[in-house]
Amino acid sequence: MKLLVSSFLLLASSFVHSAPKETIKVKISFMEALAPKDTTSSERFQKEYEYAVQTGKDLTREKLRSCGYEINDEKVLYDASDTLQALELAKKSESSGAWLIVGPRRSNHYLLAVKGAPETPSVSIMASAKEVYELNPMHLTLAQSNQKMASVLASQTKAKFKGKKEITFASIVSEDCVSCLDFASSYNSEAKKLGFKKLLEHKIAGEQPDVAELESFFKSQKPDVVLLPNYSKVSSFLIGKISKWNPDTFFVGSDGWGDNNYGFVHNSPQLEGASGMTVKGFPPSDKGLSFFNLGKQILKNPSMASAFPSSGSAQSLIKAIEDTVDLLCTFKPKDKNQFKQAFLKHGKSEFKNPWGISVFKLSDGELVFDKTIK
Amino acid sequence: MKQRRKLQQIINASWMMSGGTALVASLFLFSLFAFYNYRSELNLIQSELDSKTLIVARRLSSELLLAPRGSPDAVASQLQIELNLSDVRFGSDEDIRKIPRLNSFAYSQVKMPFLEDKYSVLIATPKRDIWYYFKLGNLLISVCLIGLFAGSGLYFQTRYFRKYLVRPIESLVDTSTGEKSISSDWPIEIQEISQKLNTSFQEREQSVYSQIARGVIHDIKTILQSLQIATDLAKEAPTETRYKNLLKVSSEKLPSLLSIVQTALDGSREISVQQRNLSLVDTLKKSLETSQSLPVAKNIQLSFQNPNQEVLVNHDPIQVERVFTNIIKNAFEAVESNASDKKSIQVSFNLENKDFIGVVVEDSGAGLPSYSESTIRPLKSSKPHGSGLGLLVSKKIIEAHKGEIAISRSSELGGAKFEVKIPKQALI
Repeated sequence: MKLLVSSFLLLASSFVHSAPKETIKVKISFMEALAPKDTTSSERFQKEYEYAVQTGKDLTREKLRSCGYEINDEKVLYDASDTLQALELAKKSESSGAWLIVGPRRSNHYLLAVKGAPETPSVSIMASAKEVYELNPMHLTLAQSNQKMASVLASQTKAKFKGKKEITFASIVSEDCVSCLDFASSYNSEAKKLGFKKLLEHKIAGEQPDVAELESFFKSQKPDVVLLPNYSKVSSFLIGKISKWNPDTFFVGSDGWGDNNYGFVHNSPQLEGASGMTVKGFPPSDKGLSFFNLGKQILKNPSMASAFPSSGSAQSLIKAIEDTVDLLCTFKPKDKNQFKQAFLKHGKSEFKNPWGISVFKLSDGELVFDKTIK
Repeated sequence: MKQRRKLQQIINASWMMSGGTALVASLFLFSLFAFYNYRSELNLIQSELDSKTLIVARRLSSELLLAPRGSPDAVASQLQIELNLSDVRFGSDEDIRKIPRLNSFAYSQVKMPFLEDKYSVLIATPKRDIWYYFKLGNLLISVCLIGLFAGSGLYFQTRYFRKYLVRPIESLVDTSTGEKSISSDWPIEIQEISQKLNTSFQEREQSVYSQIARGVIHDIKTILQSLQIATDLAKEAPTETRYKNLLKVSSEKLPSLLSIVQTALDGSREISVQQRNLSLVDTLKKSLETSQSLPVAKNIQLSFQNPNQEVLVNHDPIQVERVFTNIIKNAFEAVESNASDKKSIQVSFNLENKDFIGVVVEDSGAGLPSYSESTIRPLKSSKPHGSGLGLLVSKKIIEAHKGEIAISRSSELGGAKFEVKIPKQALI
């Protein structure tokens, strides 16, 4: 009889233990701007973005479930030309109960999103402006700072012109790009430290600015280096113009210059013959994925590795998802408030950039990976 | 005197009126369309401007929210170029309100989203003056197009009218006299009129010929009867007295017979004249002498007012003398047949007119039933057995001189007044 009762009790407890645990649904908003005019924000980008998010979710599903969580993702894609949507949609995500907002990449957009959702933790996958680093600990970025990237660029420029007594440079910066202005400012200070001579600092607006007034300057002064820390389309337009006036110009840029998969800008004959260099917070994915666990998991699966987008933003997304899962499984918050507290305390240490700074060369209109500098 | 107009002129006038109406209509339509275009474009401009304002407001708002790092001024300048605007201004509501609005621009103002209590944005774009839409080129095109359609319609209408209305009416005269045949293409009404006119003309012609023939034959018969009586008397008793009587009757009647035949002939054909620059007074005097020898001239006072000056006129003296003789003879006959005691005829010259010389014959007869041109026509003789040919031939003779015979009532004598007018510079 006793044996029967104990067996019954043992059986009953095993049922209790093996019954599925109730998972906590974690709503995460993945926000990003799409701009059909810009090749780095095209329909193709949208597909790769969604693919990366799905891949991240798939790879972390089991671990999350074992921790008692399930990601409920919400993709929020909007028109990049209407920056205010970042604020409006972030506000909407916050009011709909999102625990975390991931993105947008551009500093302007991210800063506005933070204004729209100040009480919701957020991580930008690529925003690198100074102001982003000055936000409170609830709002982070995975990108390298402009200051660090500008420092690397300046030193690499110096190395390029090794032996030259005085390196002269000019900068042409998009006035309506916060990150671009920030990068230019950092490069100026770093270049000054390295003894460069600044010949010109010119501000522009729009994608095809009128720079005819600069023709005589470039033809007469012939600066060694021209800094173009702007987005792809503007930068390639300027390269096309300036290289006609002075074919020997060396162009340098920031992480706004396309990516190695797309080339600089599709079908850009004006870039033929132009030489230059840029820096980014991410190497190509075949190298970059090896820097973090989920990335390594992807690399172990050849079909997944070959299908995975090579863009830095895709890698950054996977990394953001990995860090979010780690935060959840480590600190096990039961609701958004607890998640916020955990994020505030440990977010900076969890959401870290593993890649260092990657240097890319501009050659025949393509960006070719050169090296990574930690 | 009212100007006489041809049927074609009337149709052309109606054509001009239709064209004028079409022109006015085209001007009216052009104005209507111009105004409609102006209003439509104005509404479109404002609608586009309103949507651009929202775009500008949102962009500037995002820059201002990123302050101090945002670049609202640079973005405003960029948007002004991108959106093709004349002006982009932003500031407090009060500052924006103070910006003057010009008539040559369209404006749109809106508060900035998320900064409604601090900022408003105002954009402007030029708008066209209403007179821009009243372009001369468009007007000319409208007028030309409408003119083309209206003109084509009127042209075909005119051709149609010309073929089926104008030509048949113009031909009525010739078809009535039988010179042209009636076309089966004509409208039925005009065909019927033509037919009736033609029949009437033929009947009238026949009647005229009959009347003339009766008149002429009667006159000839009367004269021949006199000659027959004189001849029969001479034959019956061939005495010197009777032969003298026969000669006398012959010498009196034969010229009349010849005159009657000549007149009948002249009445049926065109008269040619041999004009010479001669004294019209002399011609008239000859006629007066001939008239006064007529039996009917006795007991009638004939007065002649000699102008006592040379009146030289290009005329055929023989033919004109016939005219004067005929008119004076008619005057004598009219006075003679009138029961009144007053029996006088007055002949005078009218030298007052600068274009013609007039010879006036007035009588104290009963006058004429009518003083219109139709008096001088066959069948219109006031004499019971007259053929009316005398006056008709006289009229023809004077018309050959490019002159005319005017008939009126003599205010002095109470009877008829005939004035023969011969141009001073008569053309051959």
